[in-house]
Formats: sequence, structure tokens, C-alpha cells
Amino acid sequence: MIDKSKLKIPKVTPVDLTRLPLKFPKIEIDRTKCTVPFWCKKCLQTCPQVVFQVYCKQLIKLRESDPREPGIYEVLPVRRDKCNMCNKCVEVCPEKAITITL
Amino acid sequence: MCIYCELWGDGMIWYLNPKNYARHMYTLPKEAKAGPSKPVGEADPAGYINLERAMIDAMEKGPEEYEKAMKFARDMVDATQGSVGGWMGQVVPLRDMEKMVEICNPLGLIACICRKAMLGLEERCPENMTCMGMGTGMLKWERYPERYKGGVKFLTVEEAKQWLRDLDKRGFVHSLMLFGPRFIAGICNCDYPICDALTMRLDHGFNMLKGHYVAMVDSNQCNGCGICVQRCQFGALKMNVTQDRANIDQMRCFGCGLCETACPRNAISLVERAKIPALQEVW
Repeated sequence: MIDKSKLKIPKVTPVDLTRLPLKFPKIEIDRTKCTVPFWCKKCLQTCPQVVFQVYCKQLIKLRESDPREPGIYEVLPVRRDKCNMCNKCVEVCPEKAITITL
Repeated sequence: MCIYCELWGDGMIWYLNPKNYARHMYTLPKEAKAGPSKPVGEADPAGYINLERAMIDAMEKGPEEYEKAMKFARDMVDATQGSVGGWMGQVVPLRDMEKMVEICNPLGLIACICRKAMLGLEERCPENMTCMGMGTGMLKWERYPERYKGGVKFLTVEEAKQWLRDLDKRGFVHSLMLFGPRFIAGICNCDYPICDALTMRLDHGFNMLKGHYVAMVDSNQCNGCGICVQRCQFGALKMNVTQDRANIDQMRCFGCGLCETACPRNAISLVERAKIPALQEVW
């Protein structure tokens, strides 16, 4: 068992805590319209700030999923703190599923 | 000394200690099994993304909330992955990477999971094969076809070294991939902001430790060509325009050694962090 109290665990906080709370843009993705994000991936490749992330919702052992099958992958606006509201993702989305509000 | 050297180094740099590549490390240690028990390397992708989202949501609420979210993330990673203080990786320069591939067997090229998530690059795309899985875990890759969609290409030690040098030339930061520290699961080659681990470290101070070295410029040798400045991922290298030579902020330096390998005049050298008193505890 590792005794953490005896270890000097480094702690780094690059975020300036005195500046919090900050306000970030809210990014909404309509799941009924955006169904095959890993196949389309236009928002992922367009965003200059790398805000979006795509992930496989169901990791099943011994089975490979098809990105063209709807509902298996999901795109999430993870790094909202970096969004500069350039609206490039809104323009590029073929399903018009993304809305950004402040 | 870095925490992992203290715990598992046995007097040497811990990732060069052959004990840490042993087969029985592949299963999580008993004390780490407090969280949902899963085999090493099969972390829930949504779980990790949700940690990141929770941290960013907490930034909107206030400093106390943010600190609470950070503590939760660190404890969560410790409980499920067996890390200490949330540190799940370390930057390693090319010279130590070349020693590492000699110790560990087998070596298999795998697709990068961060590039898949951030850019939607498919696993089968050859551009995406920038990670290397190491050790016993790689022998079971066929059980997880979803994770290893691009397949696994096993390499010899010489091929692996050449592969590392090629990626170093392109400008990737080498780092350890630790799914359940102590067991070194592989090598990542990262760049900001595509690599999730590096981005988390630089933006939130979480996930990746600095390396065991820091870069130093020999100002007599440097002619101010500026090649190294393009390669620094950490914002530590700037051009000193007044004196026309490179300048390294050693407090920010992660010791990845990219500037050292790029310098045409060998003006930059890597110095052990332990030998510089003020930097010994800067991880």
C-alpha cells in the first residue's frame, strides 16, 4: 500500500484561481440531428481551438463497431474554455446541429 | 527525486528499471482496485472525457468548485488506475526512449487514441500510428478490436529506435503511457493541443510529469538560427533577439530534448534536473 502522506506529491495549478469564476460559451449539439459524428467529423477537423472530442459510446469486447452506424459515436464539446465563438463549426455542420450561445 | 523514482526506482530512473516492465504488473495492484475493477488499459473513454468536462464546468462556478473538481479527478484516477496524485505519465527524451525499447518486449505500433478523439482520424490511417504499446498487454490486443482497429504492427528493437528517431525529427514530444502506473504500457508521441495528456498538463496541471532533464544553451556555440524555437511545445524556448541566440526558460522546460536533437551546432545539451538545485522539485 502506498503511503501518500509521506510522499511529496507535486501539485501544479496553471489556472489562476483568483480569476475564477469565468464565463465560457455554451455549445449545444442536437443529438437527433448529429448521429454519425465519427464518419462526418467536419466539426472536429474545422475547429481551430480543438474544442470537440469524439468517443465510442459502447466498447464491446471482441466486437468492432462501424462508424457509419448511427448512435455509436458521440461528439462532445469538451474544451469550452477555449472556444472563441468563431462559428466555423456552425457553418460547416451539414445537419445544422450545433448552436453556440454565450 | 520524482515520486515514481522514489517509489519504484530502486536507485535509478524508474522507467529504466527492468522491474517495472514485469509481467505481473499488468494486473492492477490490490490497493488500486478500490474503483470499478477493469483490466489495465481499458479505461472508460467517456469517464475520462467527463472528468475534463467537469473541470471546465467547475471553472465557471468558482475557485473552490474548481479545486474540488481537480481533487476529485486526481482521486478518481488514483483509485481506478493506481497512479499517485493523478500523475499518469512522464515526458522522456529520445535518449532514454532508446534505452527503454531495449528493455521491453514485445513492441507494437498502435493507433493514437487522442488523435482519433480530437481530429476524428481513423485508426487505419497510417498517419495515426504514433503510439507504441509495450509489454505483455500487447499480446492480447486481438481481444479489443474496437481499441486496436488499425491493427498492431510488431517491431524489432532496431526498427523501434528508427521509428522513434523519425518521430523525433517530425517534432513529437515522447512520453510514457501509464495505464496503471508501475506497469509501463507504452510510448506516446504527443503535440499540443492534440494530445489530451499534454493539454491537461499545460492547462490544468494534471496528468503528466516533467522529465528528468532540462535543456541548457551554450551561448558560445549558439548562432541564433532559431530552428529549436519552432520545436518547443511548452513555450520555454524563445529567441533572445538582443543577443541573437536562443533562450530557455528552465522553469518551463519539460526536458523533452526536441531542441537538443534539432540543433545543428550541438549548442543545446540536456542536464539532469537533480543537478540543478532550484529545479529539483519542479515537476
